[in-house]
Amino acid sequence: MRTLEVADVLDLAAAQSSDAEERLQKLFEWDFERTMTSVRLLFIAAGSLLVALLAALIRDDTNLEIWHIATIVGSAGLLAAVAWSMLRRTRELHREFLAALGLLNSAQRLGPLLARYRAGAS
Amino acid sequence: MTPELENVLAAVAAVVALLAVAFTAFTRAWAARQTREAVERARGSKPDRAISRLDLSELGDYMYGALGSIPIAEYASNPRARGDVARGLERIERFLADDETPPAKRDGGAASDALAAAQRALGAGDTWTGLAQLRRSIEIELHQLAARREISVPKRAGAGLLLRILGDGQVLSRDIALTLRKSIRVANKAIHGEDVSPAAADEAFAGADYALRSVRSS
Repeated sequence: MRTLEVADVLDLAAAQSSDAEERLQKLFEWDFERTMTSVRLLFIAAGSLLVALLAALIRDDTNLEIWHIATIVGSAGLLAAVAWSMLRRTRELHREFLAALGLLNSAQRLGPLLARYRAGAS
Repeated sequence: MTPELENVLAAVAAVVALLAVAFTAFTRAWAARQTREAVERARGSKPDRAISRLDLSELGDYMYGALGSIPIAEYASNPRARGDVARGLERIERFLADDETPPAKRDGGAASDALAAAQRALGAGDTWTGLAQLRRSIEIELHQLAARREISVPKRAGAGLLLRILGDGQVLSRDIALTLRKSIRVANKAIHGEDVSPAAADEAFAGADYALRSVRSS
């Protein structure tokens, strides 16, 4: 997944559009949605493993051995840990958005220069 | 469920989980390395060389290459990275305004060289470089005039500030000051990245050329 960089904010400033702040917000919303989709999938996968294990344990004819249980619980734990670490990253998004907004304000003063460079470079 | 199937399912679950962890760890480590390199690159780069050479391409490369590759997450969380980006952009902004001239050229460098470079660039259709060189030649010439007349001006004063000081001190005639002001205004417009027609650029050059001749002989 590509992360937002300072260059993306410079590009927004170079576009010199009046709705640059809204576009920036949109970029962060997309980033948030992408992360949340991954988080949901990982939590669902971890939950499915635990539910399947529970269902097998409840059944009388289960052939589960202790290493099965340990492996499945461990796997679910790992998936949940990955999801949790991604979820923690979304908590930082608000702070990142505010920082990017400040950067956009500074970069907008250089908007025409950035646009000229972009026009020449492309 | 047969024991074989349970074995397989448990093994698949473990492999998937381990792959997810390995992938996450690898991408995090890779991103951390890229970020570290980007922050170091920004720390080691300054826009001064691009500004003193009046090279738009180099200036853009600095903004997009040296500063641009810093992830926003790092920019938000690392005060050092944020400071480097802020200082870099601020430095360029000060250059765009006409109150400050780059230290590399304020004392040395002949105004006539800058004027000749301006003429060459304008002839080649490079309005940005041409008018940036024109503004520099005005700055050099006005610094030299201030030195000749023993008028104290800030060492890094740019064309706009110099013109205000020398105009107020009545060192420059009203007509000359007005002509230079017009040329500086057009140059500033171009340096900021706004569109300036070749005709307007040529007119600004001709006006400044005439005014600087008069300044030199005064």
